[in-house]
Amino acid sequence: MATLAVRNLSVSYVTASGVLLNAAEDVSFQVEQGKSLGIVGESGCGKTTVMMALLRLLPEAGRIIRGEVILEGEELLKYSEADMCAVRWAQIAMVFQGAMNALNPVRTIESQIAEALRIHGVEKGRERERAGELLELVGISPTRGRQYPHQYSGGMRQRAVIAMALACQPRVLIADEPTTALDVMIQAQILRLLVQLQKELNLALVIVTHDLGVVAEICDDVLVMYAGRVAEIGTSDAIYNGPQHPYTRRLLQAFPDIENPHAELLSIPGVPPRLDDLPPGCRFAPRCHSCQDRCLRETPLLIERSPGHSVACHLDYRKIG
Amino acid sequence: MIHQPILQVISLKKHFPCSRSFSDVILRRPRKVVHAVDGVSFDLRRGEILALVGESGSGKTTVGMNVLGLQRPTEGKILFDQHDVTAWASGKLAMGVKEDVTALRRRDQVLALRRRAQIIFQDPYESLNPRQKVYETVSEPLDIHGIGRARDERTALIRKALEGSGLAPADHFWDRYPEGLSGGQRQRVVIASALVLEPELLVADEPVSMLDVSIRAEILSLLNELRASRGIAILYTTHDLATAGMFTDRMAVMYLGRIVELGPTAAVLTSPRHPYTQALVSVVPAPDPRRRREQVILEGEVPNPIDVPTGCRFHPRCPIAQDVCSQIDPEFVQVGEGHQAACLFA
Repeated sequence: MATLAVRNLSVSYVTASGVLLNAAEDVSFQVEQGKSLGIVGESGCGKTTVMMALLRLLPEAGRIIRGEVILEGEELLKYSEADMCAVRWAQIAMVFQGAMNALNPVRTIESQIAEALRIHGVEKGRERERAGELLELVGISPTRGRQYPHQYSGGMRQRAVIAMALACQPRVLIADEPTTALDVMIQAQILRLLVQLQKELNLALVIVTHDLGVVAEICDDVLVMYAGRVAEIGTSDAIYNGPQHPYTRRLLQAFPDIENPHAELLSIPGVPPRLDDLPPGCRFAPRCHSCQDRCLRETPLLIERSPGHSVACHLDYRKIG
Repeated sequence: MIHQPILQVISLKKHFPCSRSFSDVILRRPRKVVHAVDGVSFDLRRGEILALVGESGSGKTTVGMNVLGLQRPTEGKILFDQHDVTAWASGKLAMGVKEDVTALRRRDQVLALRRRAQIIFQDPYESLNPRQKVYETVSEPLDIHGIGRARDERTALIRKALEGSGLAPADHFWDRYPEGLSGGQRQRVVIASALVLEPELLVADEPVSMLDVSIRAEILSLLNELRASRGIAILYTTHDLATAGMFTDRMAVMYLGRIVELGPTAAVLTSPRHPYTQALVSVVPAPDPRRRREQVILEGEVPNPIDVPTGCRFHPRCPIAQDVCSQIDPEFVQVGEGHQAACLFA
């Protein structure tokens, strides 16, 4: 059984004038203990919305329209807010995008980790000791727990934030853009750390990113989102070596490969649609170079084309570019 | 003189003094110095694209600033088309202040040179004035340089710059504000306002790092096209080896204020000779899980440029360092055609 399963999750935002904007529609995926899933897509395609929805942390205008979020057999959307509080951090923890820049500048790292521990009821008086253990776990000397965020480099702050997420020994760790804005070498260090933690702690890991390279490097499965819908989902090998959705294919063609520098890099012309102006039919159709009449009218369903590999496209990928 | 490089950077050093604290002054501790750039030399030919690659703190942006005369070098020389930039470099020009004739003449010379070297900044969400229409943004450089005072001439120049940057038809864009443009379009506006002066050198400081992967390629191919069609030389500073590999001719890898390896891009990426370059190349993710490679992950981070390590400045993090590396500061050695590395074991 999957540790975390999301089924047909749809999320909307209500505008001031009462209009519902569909930010995510029918998103389904699952992650098992000790496995990792990468969620990729351009900015604004709904990746973060889905994560916030499953943690029930949507902003006020956000509404979960339908769907299920199942954590080890328990349906989280039925939980009361108080019960949900006990799930967050203790069972599903998240490293938010940019969290490393949101540490409190006037408190020591150790005391910020201790705060998370205290809220979740770690034995009083043991917080500092446990904070030290957590820092050690992410490769920071516990003696540096007494320091302030400004004394840490970017990579160390990201490690500290990961330590904080692991404070209550969660089963599921979600990391939203964990390496964006970090240098390549620091990115490699952080990715190595995530893989190591996932193995040692047997975590179910979800990485949300726009960087296909990060996902190829560490994820077992990949979900490609476009304009709030799942375009394609499958194992990393299937997605990278046999992509079937035109969007996935174009994304991969836009990604530079250092071992193949002379391959022509192709952009995807245009931008993702605005939520208040979603095209009928396939949402990628206006940017798709294989678009046909049908694509403009009918929304393609997500269909499993081979075991574990599903694609939402009307076309036969062998006939598209 | 066509083979004369458009830009020559010779032993450039840029040191920034740190401010001293009260106790430093009382205890007469010497002022600390940040060695941002510490002896960098390279040439850039007309129509050539050189990647200046390095992590944060390597000094690559400082090199760009000095090249454009936006900072005054501590030591060394920068020749732009044989003119010594370092002689006139300064933060600001005394515009409109009562000056003597020589100062005025100097200002004109400086402006004339500045027109020929332009910069593209990293973040098109921050570098455009949200209250200015595209037309105004692109015409501002013309005002500064007193070009195209006649309305028709000016409009023609702006049209050419916008369309040359891929914003065609220009009329469709010039009445818009940045908020109505996508990230890629904004960056094209930034490029257009550099192009409108018809520069011979562009310093592109991480021009695509803030853009979505899906549109990076089009901005990079635009830069490549500008080089081909107008012979513009480009100094492309980035931390992203993979995009640099796609369109640059040569690559200089910087570490802690120095260039540690310099050579044709393909040679540097396929057979890197400096251990730092080797490590950097090894950690660039490939878009294919079947090619997860053996990585050389360096521990720690680029040290602080105040206390630069002795000998080879990379030795404390180098996987192959020997005792001698902490004593000898390695010189460049030739390791291939036009390919140099500063390592005793290269």
